[in-house]
Amino acid sequence: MIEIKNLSFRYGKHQTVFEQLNMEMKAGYIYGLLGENGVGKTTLLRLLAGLRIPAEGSIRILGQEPRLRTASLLSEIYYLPEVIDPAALSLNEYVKLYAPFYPHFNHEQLAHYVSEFGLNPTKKISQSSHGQQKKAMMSFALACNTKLLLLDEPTNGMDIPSKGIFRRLIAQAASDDKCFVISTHQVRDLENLIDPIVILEHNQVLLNNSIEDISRKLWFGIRPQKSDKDLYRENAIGGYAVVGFNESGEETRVNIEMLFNAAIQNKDLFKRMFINGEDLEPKRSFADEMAQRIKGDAGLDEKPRTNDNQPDE
Amino acid sequence: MEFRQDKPIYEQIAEYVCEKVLNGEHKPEDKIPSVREFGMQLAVNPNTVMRAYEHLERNGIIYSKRGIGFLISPDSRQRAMDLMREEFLQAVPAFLNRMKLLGLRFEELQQAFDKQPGGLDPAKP
Amino acid sequence: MTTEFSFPRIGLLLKSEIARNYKLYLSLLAGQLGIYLLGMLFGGINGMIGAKSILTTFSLAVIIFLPFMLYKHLFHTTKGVNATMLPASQSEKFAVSMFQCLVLIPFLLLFFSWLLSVIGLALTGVNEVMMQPWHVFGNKTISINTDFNLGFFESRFWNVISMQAICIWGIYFFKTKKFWKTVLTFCCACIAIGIIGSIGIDAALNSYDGGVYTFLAEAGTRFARILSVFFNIIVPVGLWVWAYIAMRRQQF
Repeated sequence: MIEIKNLSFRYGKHQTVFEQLNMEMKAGYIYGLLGENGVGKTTLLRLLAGLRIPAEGSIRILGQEPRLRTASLLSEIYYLPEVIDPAALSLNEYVKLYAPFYPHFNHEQLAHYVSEFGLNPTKKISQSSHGQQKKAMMSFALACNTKLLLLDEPTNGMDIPSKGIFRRLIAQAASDDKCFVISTHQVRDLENLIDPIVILEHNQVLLNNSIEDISRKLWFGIRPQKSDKDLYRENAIGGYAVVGFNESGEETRVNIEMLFNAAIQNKDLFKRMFINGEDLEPKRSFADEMAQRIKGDAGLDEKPRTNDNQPDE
Repeated sequence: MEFRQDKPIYEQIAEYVCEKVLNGEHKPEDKIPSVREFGMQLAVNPNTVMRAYEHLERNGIIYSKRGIGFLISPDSRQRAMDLMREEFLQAVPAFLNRMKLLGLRFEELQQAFDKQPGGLDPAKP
Repeated sequence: MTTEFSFPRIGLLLKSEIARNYKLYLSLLAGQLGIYLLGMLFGGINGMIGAKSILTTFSLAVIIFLPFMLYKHLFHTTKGVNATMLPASQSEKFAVSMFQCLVLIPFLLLFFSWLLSVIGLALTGVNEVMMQPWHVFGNKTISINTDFNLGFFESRFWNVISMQAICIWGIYFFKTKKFWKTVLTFCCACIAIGIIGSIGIDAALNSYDGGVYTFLAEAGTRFARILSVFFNIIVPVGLWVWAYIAMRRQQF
């Protein structure tokens, strides 16, 4: 659905955000867009929406370029920015004026979202609280049933119960012909929903893979001892919470926060492993293999195979 | 729904369905929610739910019927038991490692087992 | 409705624009009513005659400054997002904005002030109280040679439109790059010359005497009049075209 080819984008002459970026996003998925502040998440969403124009390269969504801002493509994209400009209208009035622009708008769905979020559709949106405004526009966005939905920090400013409702509604709204791209810092608000995960870094993409892919290549869990092969490590009860290579083939639950930290600490590695598709399992040298085998035969192979033989302080 | 950190979510969803089979909430030939409905109830990506259902189907706990959806298999009880046993036993190495760390012996485990009211004998419900 | 230019969609756009701006419309009409009532209550019949010309000036001033208010949403960082993302082609959005600025609002203001003066006429029976707003669209009073008559194209209306275009200069100037700044300034300078020129011509035409001077004056003023028409019409049109291009290139 989305094809990005050799995209370059700069602010001014010297602040490069993307350089020759290549990426694909498909329908039927909910993409989570992660990245440190200032790395270009909002810029990418705006480039997809057609609000920003690439300096070089092209973006194609459903075969069209968003920067042309054609009516047919715009009716299949909804962009919900982080900061909304609230209309001086009630939600009902807003819907009456703007829903006709969206050919797949569904009024029953809107009523469902309004009731789930507990909104008052007769109250002026600009006079509601920040959270209510966001929920109102979110309800409208979901009811438009556009093929591409771009959400920029959707849970920012939402109270805790609303975050849960939002999660359920997104899960319900997802379908095989729609693509959702959600940029967020609040990974915990969206875990279990976002799959694939996209991690952006300055001028590059470190990861654009499904949870299944990630859990095949990486191992997440608690290990009693440290290892030099750990990609990321935190203290935990029972030893260390670790992100490492998946050597055993066992599938563990991907911890997205730890995944992100591991990516930032091993940028090059991630890029090679996930974007270039290199197979980077650390292989033991021949000498190590033989040494291990001799030890095993002599019954000296008692301790678990780590580099450290002493548990750490 | 809250999920544990130690297992992939799709496996935990499958486990959840198996629990309901074992405690009788899901009876053979019952219809279970569609992928999307279940995704909404659990607030989980529908693709993950799909993976869970495929896992359950591969293990014969559910089957799909065109036009209707997914149904609980007739022999689901036994199969669910088998699957959950298999997955439970996967946690044993970590458990035993911890025992070793704490210097506990198997006899102490046996004592705890015997102390349980009515025992932990799976033959007794 | 997936074609790029569809009238039903333009209708929807217009409806949403009016709904968005309805407070502005109401306050403009209220302002006109206020002026007329003040003139009537404090000046009697003379007050109403005076109010008539104030109303025209007020209306024309509003028409000139209106694009600043109506176009803010195309360039404002947050408001601009909604306007750009609305599923309609950029041509349609531009056409609706132009229609609002050039046709709808001028008509509304001039019509309403005419209506007020008609009520005034009904109340007082004095003819001078009644205003003829269509004079804005007719040709200016020129005492010499009425064969060379450019009619509508020389009317005050175009002066107003070209001044309106200068206001667009104010909105766009600080947001554009050097090249476009230059183009924009050049266009506005031309319009300014055109306006000053036509005021000058008016004055000249109404104060000369006759004879050989007449012949030279005719040829000279004809040329000057054509030139002023050029500045007053073609350049604003060029500015609108430029505004359209700027809209397409605008980023948020």
